[in-house]
Amino acid sequence: MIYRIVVLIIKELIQFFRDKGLLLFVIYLFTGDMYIAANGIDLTLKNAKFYVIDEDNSFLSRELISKFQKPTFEFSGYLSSVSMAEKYLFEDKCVGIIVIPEDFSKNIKNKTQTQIGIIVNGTETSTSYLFSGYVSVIISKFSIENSFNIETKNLPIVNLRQRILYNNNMDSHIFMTITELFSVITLLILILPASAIIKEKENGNIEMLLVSPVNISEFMVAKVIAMNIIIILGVITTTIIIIKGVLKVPFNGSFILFILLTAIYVFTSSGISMFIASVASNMLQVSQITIMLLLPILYLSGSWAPIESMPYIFQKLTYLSPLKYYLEGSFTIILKGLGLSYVYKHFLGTFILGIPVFLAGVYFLKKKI
Amino acid sequence: MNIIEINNIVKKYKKRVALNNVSLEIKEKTLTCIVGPDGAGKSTLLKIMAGVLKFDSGKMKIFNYEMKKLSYFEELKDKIAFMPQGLGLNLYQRLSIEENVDFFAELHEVDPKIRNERKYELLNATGLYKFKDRQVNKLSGGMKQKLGICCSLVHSPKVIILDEPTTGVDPISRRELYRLIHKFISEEGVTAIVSTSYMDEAERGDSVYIMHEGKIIYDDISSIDEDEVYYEYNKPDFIEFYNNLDENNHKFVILGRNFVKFAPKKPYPEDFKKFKFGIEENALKTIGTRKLNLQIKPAKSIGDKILELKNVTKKFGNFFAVKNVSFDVNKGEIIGLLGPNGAGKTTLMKILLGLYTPSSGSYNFFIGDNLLKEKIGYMSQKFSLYSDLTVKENLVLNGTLRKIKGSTLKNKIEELYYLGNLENYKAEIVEKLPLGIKQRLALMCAVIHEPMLVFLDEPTSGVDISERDVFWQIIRYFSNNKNTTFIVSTHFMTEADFCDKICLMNNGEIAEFDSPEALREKFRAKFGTPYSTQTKTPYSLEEKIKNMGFKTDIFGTKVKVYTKDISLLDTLNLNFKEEIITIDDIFVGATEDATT
Repeated sequence: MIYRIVVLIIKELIQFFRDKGLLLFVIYLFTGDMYIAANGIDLTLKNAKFYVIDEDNSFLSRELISKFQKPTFEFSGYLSSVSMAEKYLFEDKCVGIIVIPEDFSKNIKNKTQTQIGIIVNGTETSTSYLFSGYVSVIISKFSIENSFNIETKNLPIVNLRQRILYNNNMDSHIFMTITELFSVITLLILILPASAIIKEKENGNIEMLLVSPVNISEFMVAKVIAMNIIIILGVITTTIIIIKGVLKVPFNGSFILFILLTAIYVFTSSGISMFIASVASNMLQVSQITIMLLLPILYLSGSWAPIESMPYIFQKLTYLSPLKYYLEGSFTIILKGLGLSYVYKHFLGTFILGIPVFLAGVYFLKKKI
Repeated sequence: MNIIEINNIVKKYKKRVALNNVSLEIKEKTLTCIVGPDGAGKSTLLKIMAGVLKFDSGKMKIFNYEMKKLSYFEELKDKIAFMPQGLGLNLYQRLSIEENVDFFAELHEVDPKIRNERKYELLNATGLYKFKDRQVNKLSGGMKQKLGICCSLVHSPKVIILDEPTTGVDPISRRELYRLIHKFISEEGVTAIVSTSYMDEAERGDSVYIMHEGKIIYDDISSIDEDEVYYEYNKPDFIEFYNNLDENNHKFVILGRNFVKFAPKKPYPEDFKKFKFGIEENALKTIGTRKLNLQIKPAKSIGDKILELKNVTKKFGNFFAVKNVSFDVNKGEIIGLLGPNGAGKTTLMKILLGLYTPSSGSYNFFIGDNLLKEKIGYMSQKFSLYSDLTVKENLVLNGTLRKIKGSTLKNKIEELYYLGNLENYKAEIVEKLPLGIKQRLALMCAVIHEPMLVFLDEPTSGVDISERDVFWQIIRYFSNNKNTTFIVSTHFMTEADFCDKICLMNNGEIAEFDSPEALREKFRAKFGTPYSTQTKTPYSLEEKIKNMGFKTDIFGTKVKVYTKDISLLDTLNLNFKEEIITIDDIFVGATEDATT
């Protein structure tokens, strides 16, 4: 039996490396896609374009606008009316518009209350959120300083001292690269074994094997192991060459421990792929079902949005995403550099959720073929 | 008058030449048959004539109008109808028969009044009127093809181009389809062009072109040489005779079930049965045959019962894929499962292989021990080996999975290279090989563990006649020399003549099960002998004889009549020639019998 499985795994690996299209796809995911995620996706506010309706048109109002500097902001010009402002927002020419009323400088000097309007484009929620946050901090600081002619840092207010652990520069590209790696791994686990199985089903190869002494369990185990070998090899090379080498993401923990956790995650989650193979009858359906399952797994893992900000039910549902345990465990290993005594819980979570998933996959696929 | 004239057309797909200097003429009000295996270039040629595809060089005239650009076809679209390959592929599966016809009529902006008349006429002629509200996906293959023809004819075109309308269609519907085409030719003056991969359909055309590897290798205008003859040797020692023939002195050599058919380059002095070249022989002459150096044993022994089926039935929902099938197979026999697509051949095989469990009934193998999987071999429909592995890797994989190791495996593979004539392809990636070679490799993989019983599911579909001959030589070798039992399914009626017993299947049931000789005798006793006569008006003559109460069939310019007493037709004053009973005749006889 072991002999036959080894023969089948070798066959599977030869086939994988001969399939140029698939090979390119996998190589791209482990290289180009990582690079784009690291450099292309930035969660901080950058070059936020804004216009100003300055009804006051005074020295003070111009001084205020000069506080909005690059690289965070980009001043795009003055507008004459609110209707113009609306038009610019419609056309997506800017993130927001600042409206300064005509008695602005007078009120500041008289130390009376004054108002400044911010109009933001709510369609881009997170950018607008950051924009209005930054703007209000700058304006309130400016108004206090100018009304009382003092520097805010000399005021007797609470002085905030931030200390950031594990990612000193709060560099979002580290987070993005690692979560992207997990998304790629998850995508490949879902799609590779399923498409390898469906390909044999479509071509009729599977019947030939079933008529030979090979039994269905040997066939499945061989597929899963072969595809896992490919994914783990991909993870090892991309971590060493792309993540550590090209993208310079610091790797603080034990590499072996990370790969071990990856192996457990990959092997157990292959059950989902076997489930896909049991439901799908052709390649198109494999891709469709993969996308359908991939999105909730990613969403519920907390890689896109913090779990704490989800609605209550979703928070509970996150326990069902195998990626959650793997993701938390891996972050702990890679960024915090902690050892097994700290991450054993994540190992257990991945393992305990993974085993039934794997067995269910085997059960469905066996029943279907 | 020539409706279409094609001169030296060349069409390439990247580097592959699909059409290599093809020239042909299509006369008005005729049926032209274009015959050839898969990949010969038939579809490409038809698509070019229909204005769906561009060609690289050459000239084409349609209605005496030179077609230089695809856009020229725009004006001709109402005069030409094209039905692509595949059962009902151009139809809308979720629409009813009537809705489909209406839709195609509206596409061509047929006046609603005329349309309704036309629709009624067409649906009546094809016998579909009764089912006009039925959805297309619930129709049989034959009905879909008939509806396809209705939809192509609804705007009264002058030319209809049908790409493989009979592939996968049962023999009765196949005859009806050709009859229908002849009807439209004689009643509406349509010109029809039909492609097919069945050599026995070639004669159904008024003119015939045979294609092979992008070239026309036979046409009935220039290829006929009255002097060419072939011989048949049918004495009991025909296999020894075959083994000793030197292929180099022959135009072709074919091993039949109990005869050898050969065409020597120089006339034979000895006295053999002599025949004039027909269409098939002319094609064989050009393609050539390859006699493998196998030394087939002259006689084979039929042993005891090896497999027994009792009332095997398989239901999918309400549909009977296989219904009450019972027969016995003896060791050493070659059993042919014959029938159109959907007849239940593949389902039956899969039941016997253990891939499906039967809904009721039982079957038993008498193979001795429990290791059934070690004793049976299987080659599934279409090509089912790993096409991204090499020939050698496929053989090694199949061997090692069956625990053949080391030097035994090595020797076995060498033997299979030799038997399958695969020596030159060892390191080739399978995907790039021609279909015939792939099929031989699949057969070799199926017999690598020397099974007692081998199942072959449509092993020769899509393969040319010469390659098919090679394939059957190998089957004969295993059957005679190794006493292997074969169960082979096919929809080539002519292949049945190689089998010891034929199992004719239709709609999941067995219509006949016996040796080809016994089936012929049975047919003769029931329907008589076929006779044929030449005529210029096949359709009207056929109608006439049919109305006199005879069973008839149209073959191009010939009309076939089946009768026990030909003197009954003396009043017609025609010259009748006796024909042989084909397996196709037997099939139609058996299945018609079941429906009426």
